[in-house]
Amino acid sequence: MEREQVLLKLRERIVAFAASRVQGDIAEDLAQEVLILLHEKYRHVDRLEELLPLALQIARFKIMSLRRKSQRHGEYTQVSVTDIQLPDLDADTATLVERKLMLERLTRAVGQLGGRCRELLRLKLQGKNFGEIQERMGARSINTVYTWDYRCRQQLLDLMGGGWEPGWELDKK
Amino acid sequence: MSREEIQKLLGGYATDTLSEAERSALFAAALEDQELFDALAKEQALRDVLQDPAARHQLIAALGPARQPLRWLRQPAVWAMAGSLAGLLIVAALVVRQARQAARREVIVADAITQPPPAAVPPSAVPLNAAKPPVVAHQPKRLAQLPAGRGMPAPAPSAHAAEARRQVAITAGQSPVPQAGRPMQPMSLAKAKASARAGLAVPYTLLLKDADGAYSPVPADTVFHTGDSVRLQVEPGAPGYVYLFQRDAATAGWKLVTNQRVENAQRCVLPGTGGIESDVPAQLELLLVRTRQQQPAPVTPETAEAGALPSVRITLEFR
Repeated sequence: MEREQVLLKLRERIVAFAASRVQGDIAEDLAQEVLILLHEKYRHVDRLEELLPLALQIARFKIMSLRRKSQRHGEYTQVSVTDIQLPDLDADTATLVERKLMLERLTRAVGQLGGRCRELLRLKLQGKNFGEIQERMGARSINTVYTWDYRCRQQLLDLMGGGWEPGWELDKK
Repeated sequence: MSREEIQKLLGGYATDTLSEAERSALFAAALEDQELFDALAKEQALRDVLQDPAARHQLIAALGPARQPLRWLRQPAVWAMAGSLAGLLIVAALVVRQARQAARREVIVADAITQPPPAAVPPSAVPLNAAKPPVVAHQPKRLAQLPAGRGMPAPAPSAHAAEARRQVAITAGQSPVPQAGRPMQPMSLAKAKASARAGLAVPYTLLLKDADGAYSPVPADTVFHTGDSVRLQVEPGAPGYVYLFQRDAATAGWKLVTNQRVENAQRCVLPGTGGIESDVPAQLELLLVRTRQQQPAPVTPETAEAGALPSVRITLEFR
């Protein structure tokens, strides 16, 4: 798939994703900013396997930035596009604090997982792929490992309250 | 990959666990599927945290010590050995169980024959050198017991009685050789009877008339009292005729008491009416003869004792 085709598809998905969290015109602007950044700063990235994570990361930063700005202003109304700065993907202080809080919640949650899920997550965090995990855990097929991982992820999500980070979705007021 | 299988790859996105092929499949599907794209976007928060190696180490520490992989359990040889061991254990358990059951059966037999009431033996049937048990109003007719413990006398001089005791001793697990002065173990008369009959040419059992007028089995070496009425219960084991002779004290010759036709495995009681009695202390000598002939034949004690016919001599002592 060509880069332009990938970017078109990404825009469509990002608009739809953002529209479920912010007002429609803001969602359009947000997607446009993501594409501008991909086009100007990350022109050398052309593979889907790199473009999609990058687009998701930029979109998340922008949504988080919008949320913070709205909180600072004490409002949840429409924000002017001109007020939105292009994000720096290096973590700022607020982002670091949010990550720290999320890590603390994660640390508490993983301690409550069952034995198999703990072992599976440990191997994943150690950088093992699913094939290696299958061998280490003695699963009959890799699909078994996929199923285990899916259930463990759901279990961890439940322990985290249903989402990885609370309140990152903006009100659509 | 199906949509369900693709969705199961979501968990590998944040931890960067996916292989190149898995990642391509997941991302390509996410471009076409808004729901999957949204799920992927939500995973981004976790992915951002896990990009930090320090965060990974913190989580690994929170997960606790790693489980030791039981690789040896996946070796076929281990399973084969475990299966063999389990089979051996099962076989051993079965053998032990059967042995215990066999031992329990033996105990049950011993319990069954250890029925205490010495009163079952009529007073007149008690050996002379034993204390007389109290007379009871009702005595079982055919379940009389051999006197237990010290109630059983030393072997009587009668050859038949000795044979009977020998058989009883063998059945009860004792030495087949009678030991003078040593009491025999209690045993049901039915069992003793069967054992005693086993070695005889004409198996029989002595019956003694009790207070109720019924005839009950007594040991072969019983010494009777004058006035007792005795019968013989015979099990020839084959169809034919049985003859009972009694030596005449006056002439020293034999006289026929009675004869009776018997069918196969049929018991008969001789004499059919009355009994063998003595009003004075005496030893009555009896001869029991069996033939296989279907018609009464001229049987004499002489021909029987010459070995032509199965016979057995019986001595009844009255005191």
